[in-house]
Amino acid sequence: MSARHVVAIDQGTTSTRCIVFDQQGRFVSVAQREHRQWFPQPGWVEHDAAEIWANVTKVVPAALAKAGIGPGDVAALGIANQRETAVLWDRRTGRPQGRAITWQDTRVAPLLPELARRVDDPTLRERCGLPLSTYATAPRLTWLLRESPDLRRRAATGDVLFGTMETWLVWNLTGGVSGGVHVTDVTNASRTMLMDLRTLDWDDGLGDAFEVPRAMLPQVRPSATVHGRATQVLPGVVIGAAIGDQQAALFGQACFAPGEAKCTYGTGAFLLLNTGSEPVVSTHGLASTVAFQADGEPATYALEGSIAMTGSLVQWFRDSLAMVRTAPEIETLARTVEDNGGCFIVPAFSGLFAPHWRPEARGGISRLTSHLTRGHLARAVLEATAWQTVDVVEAMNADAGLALTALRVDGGMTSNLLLMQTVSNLLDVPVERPMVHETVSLGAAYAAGLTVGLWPDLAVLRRHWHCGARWAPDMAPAQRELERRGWRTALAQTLTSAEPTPPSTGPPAP
Amino acid sequence: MLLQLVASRADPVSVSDVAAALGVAKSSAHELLRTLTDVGFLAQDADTGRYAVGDGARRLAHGPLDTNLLRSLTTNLVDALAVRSGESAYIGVLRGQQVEVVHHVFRPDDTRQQLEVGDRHEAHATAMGQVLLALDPAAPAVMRTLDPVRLTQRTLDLPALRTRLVEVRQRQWACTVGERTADKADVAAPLRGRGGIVVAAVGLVGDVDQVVSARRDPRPVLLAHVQAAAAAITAELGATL
Repeated sequence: MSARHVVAIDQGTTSTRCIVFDQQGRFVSVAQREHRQWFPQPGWVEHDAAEIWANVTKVVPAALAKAGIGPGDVAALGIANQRETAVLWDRRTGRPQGRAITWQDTRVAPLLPELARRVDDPTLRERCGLPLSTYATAPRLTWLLRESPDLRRRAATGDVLFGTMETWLVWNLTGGVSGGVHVTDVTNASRTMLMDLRTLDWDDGLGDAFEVPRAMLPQVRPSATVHGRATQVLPGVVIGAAIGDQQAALFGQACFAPGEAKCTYGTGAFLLLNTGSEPVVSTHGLASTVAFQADGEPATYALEGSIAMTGSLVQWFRDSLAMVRTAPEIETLARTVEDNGGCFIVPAFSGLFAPHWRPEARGGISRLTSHLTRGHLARAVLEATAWQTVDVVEAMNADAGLALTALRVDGGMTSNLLLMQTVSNLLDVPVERPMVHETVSLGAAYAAGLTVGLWPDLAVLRRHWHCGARWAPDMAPAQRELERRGWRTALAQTLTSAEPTPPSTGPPAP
Repeated sequence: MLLQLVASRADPVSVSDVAAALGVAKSSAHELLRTLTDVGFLAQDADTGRYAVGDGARRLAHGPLDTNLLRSLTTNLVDALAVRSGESAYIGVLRGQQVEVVHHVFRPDDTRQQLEVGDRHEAHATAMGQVLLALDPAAPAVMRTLDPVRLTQRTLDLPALRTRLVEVRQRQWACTVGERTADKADVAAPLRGRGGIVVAAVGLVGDVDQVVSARRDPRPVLLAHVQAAAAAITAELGATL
């Protein structure tokens, strides 16, 4: 076999990247292009799907050129993508119908109370695993089709197609208007709020509740399967995987067994815990989701907790408070003091997400004294990320009925060693970061390589995972409890000080 | 004085402004402006040809290179060095007579290892340290008072160290074999910031028989990995720092 490389496309929120990996799963080359963010109204965030497709046609040849290989050297292509973003396009012209509404867009908030009366929260959680929120895709489709009777009519006849980003890319890669394949994978479908977690197919009851005609929906396929053969960009290459970016990171971190978890620290943070072959319905404010499915095999499920503000809190500290010049320098500033000086920052800038789901909560800085310096505030900023991680892990442990024994981490903030040590100290478990940072792309590449037999099984992929750094807990239990009381007190203050308004971006706390 | 002149003006200055203000010929003013622009202390507007204070001068106010920023900028490239070489990879900076580890990536063999960031070693007995003693701008002052502690039978004394540093300056890399710990060898190369100034060293450490040949030369493939990592990181630092 001569084709020994795997190509991954990571279609993300701010950019589209193409990464080439070799047969050992090692990074070979990368090419990247950012796309425009459209903010037509407050709370609206849109992408131009045509621009994103055009970027794919540029980054893939660029990454291959840097690696010095051609399409003939590529064993398979895997796609990882930003989740929950809704693209509508015309089946005959291939043209997007309006801009894509992204996962960050909150325009559907006013629709949620009405939708909540149609499908109650327990039914929703049991059926699709998600709380009713502005995150999921289905309310976006409700909104779009209510806005335009013309779209609704053409959607009902299947002339207008819906897809998340991977669906749009696979359709275009496989020929678009001339024979493009209209498919999605189970992980992406599990974020739409339209799929039954157990049957792994569209649920007609949910489709009715959200007024989404079945004719516009793609076929739900396993994550790792032959989705089609590319006719564009990489002619002849098998599209061996499509998978949501956070699930891809879980896979790229080789968290294949129940109880294994990863946390990706970026602007926000996403913690996913592999829960095995049965979905766990959360009673602690988490989402239940599909982690992965290979062709002909049962699905693997995960619990997911998302934290809104982690890296973005450091950005605020840098840009709005001008406390540091660059984000990494917050570690230098934090190390000028021994501790947080009793100060806690609760970053509920736009409410608290998992596991609290209190959209009305507003952030606070607690226990200000004249003794505090910039260094103490820097500590409190980093500890806020660590404490939010602890809150999500504790909810996961309670839901899954097992205790996390180690946390695998990735993302830009893992180069902050003080933060990683603090996460380990407060969780009281080891924290490990892998040698290959690009876990999202790697996960898509792994899944695609499995499909075409470049790698025989998960055991081989597990051996590719190497630990780049490890932090072991180093904090006395009494100290941890003292700090925990401080965080809990600060958290309670932000919840009690909030105006009691009905939830608009999530369900009420259980 | 020229920098003060440019910095004191609200708008960018022309060559004639500078010549008039300093009382020198336009050709001399032009040469001074070019020199300061080449090292980043001034920036020339592409359209008007006028000069303003550059990022390099602003950075002078920020003091020494922040080592946490350095780690954050180099993580992917140091990971690649560890993966490709199969050895532990490090970045170090000169702190007096010692080299401080500011970044460490584990050897990719799944053995239990400890993070060594923050550890300090005698500079004269390590490859990263010898690179910095040979090339770091702070090294001449350090060398004036250095009395190298003997750590193993192979640790260099002062005359031997001086001879070694001449070699390091010529080769632009260093290799030590058993000079700090009897059974370890290391290879390192310099990292340069804007203006070509050496700010840190990147290197790998491993068992003697893994890292060097029977003739105690670094294995060519490992040396090539270290040099490639140094070049890639230097390019990254030149673009950002």
